[in-house]
Amino acid sequence: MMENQDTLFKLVDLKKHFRLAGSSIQVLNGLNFSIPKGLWVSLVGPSGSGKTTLLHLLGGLDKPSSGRILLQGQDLAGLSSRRLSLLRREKIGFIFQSYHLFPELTALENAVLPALHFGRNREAEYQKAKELLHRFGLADRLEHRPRELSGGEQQRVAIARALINDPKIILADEPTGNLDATAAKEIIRILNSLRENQQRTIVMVTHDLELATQTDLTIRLQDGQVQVS
Amino acid sequence: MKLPAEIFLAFRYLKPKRTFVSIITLLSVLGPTLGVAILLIVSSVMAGFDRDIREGIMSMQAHLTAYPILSESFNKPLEIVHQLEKYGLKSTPVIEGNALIQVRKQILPKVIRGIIPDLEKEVTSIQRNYFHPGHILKEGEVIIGARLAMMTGLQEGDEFLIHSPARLTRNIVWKENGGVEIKPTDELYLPEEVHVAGFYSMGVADYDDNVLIMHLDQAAELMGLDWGSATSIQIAVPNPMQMNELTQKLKREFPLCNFITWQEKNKLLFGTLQVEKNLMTFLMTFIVLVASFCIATTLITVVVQKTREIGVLKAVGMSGFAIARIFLLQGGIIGVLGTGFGVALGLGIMACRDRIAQLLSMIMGHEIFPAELYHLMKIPALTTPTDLLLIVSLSLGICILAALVPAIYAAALQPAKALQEDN
Repeated sequence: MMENQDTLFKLVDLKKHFRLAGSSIQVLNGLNFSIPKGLWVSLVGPSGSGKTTLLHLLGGLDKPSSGRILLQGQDLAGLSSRRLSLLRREKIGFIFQSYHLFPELTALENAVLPALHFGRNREAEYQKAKELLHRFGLADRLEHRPRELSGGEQQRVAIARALINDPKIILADEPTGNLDATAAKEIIRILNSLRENQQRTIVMVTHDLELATQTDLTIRLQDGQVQVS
Repeated sequence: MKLPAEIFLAFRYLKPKRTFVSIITLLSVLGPTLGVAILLIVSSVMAGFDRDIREGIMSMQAHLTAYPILSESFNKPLEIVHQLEKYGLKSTPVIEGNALIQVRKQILPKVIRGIIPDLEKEVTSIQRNYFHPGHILKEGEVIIGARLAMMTGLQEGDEFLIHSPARLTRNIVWKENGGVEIKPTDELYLPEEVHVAGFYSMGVADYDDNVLIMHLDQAAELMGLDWGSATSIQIAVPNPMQMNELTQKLKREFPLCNFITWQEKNKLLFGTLQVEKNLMTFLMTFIVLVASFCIATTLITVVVQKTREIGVLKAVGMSGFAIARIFLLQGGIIGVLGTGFGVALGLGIMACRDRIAQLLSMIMGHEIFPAELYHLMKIPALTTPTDLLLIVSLSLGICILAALVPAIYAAALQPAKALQEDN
């Protein structure tokens, strides 16, 4: 993996351990690699190998125990939590295995939520959310609550939410993990379309090794170490 | 509808997933509602009580009373009245003393008060409270309080007897060795026969029960004093709230008089009122605190319930501040609703307080607001804008403060940890 202006993430001796009931569990044990811009990257590895932890670290949701994560040369550990929120809002979209939609809100409201800040043209954001939901085949589902939607539909709403602020990075934590084969296929098709058309970088945690082979780059985590293929 | 996310979510979190109004929201609004209503009622009644007591006292007592220092009465009180006039002060001589009244076979200890009606009306408002305002008091006529009339069944024109201590003790001589001797007398002791010329009602039970009003000369006779003398001089001052300077000046000018202000005279009563007020405020603070726990509990429940959602909000780029604002706003909404309902409830109860008191008295089988204990005839109420403002801002402030803890907790949640929360 080259290191040049196309490098998006650069991990330097990244370590993470958790304290659990008094004992320390080493999850990531000195990771050194880079993720280039514009690729679809899959993170694979057995359960407990630290895939989700790594994804959270990349998204600035957690801090490393030691080592550094550089996002386009900027050390995430050096950012205040306010700057980190701003960074997530503008540059990163998250997709979760169990969708994490807000049960009180409709599909449209869920999708538009990250864009409802002070100072934004909220009318326009609602329009944009509608367009995204249209694009993902949810035009007649705008006013439905999450519990009225199928798993695949919920995940498509979640993807719309991740895209509402037009981020350059998508971090997806087993986006197809809870879906049947058909719905999973649809989600993969959408993710693929995001990458090809818009030069986005997608980092996706998955258990599905066959799915991993379709991606540009597979990072295999095992015992806190990394193998890139 | 197109609101910023934090305002949007604050409102949504107050609404439940299925029913229209969440029970939790309802209960948490009820806390400040009751707190504010009770606070409002108690402070209004206390303030009204204070005002009515003061007004009642001022209607019967002058602002300043002069007592003789060397003797037990002024021999020529009108001279002092004239001298006081030079200072621009209205005053009137008064005789006050204790006596027993006898209505048929019933004997009651009462206070008699002799006045000169023409002068008295410049100083106190006794005459305004007559049922016959124009009436001129003649010898043998007494004005009694409306409550005394009710208790004894005395009506206008009815006769009753006054046994005066001066007459009763006239024939007793104290010997030098401490013994007592009864003077041999051929005089027969007779009580004074008087009749009811009218009634007054001050609204203060102490007065309406106890004080008999008659002409100064009649009182002089009963008390065994010379005609034209007085036991004290009642003085009206222009500014009864600030009379220290004036009192000091009068004390210098009239060395034979002892001046006592109305505040000094009623020190015990006002002291008691103040203690009651302080105690109430102290107890009320707990009510408001309990109400605030209501809100804190609600919001903490919401925050814990929503831990994973808070993690998602952080993941989609909402700052800790914005998340704190959701819960502060929620506390604010609960506070505004609760305070609003509380003010309405409090004012509503105040408006029909007498009917409520009657109902409670009926249910409990005894009077819950007896005039003898509370001095006043009906439940007083005075809601000042200042009190209202104070209660409203106190309630809103406490609601926001109560929301602060859950808000800070929510803002400080670690997003990665929050996302892994199982709920």
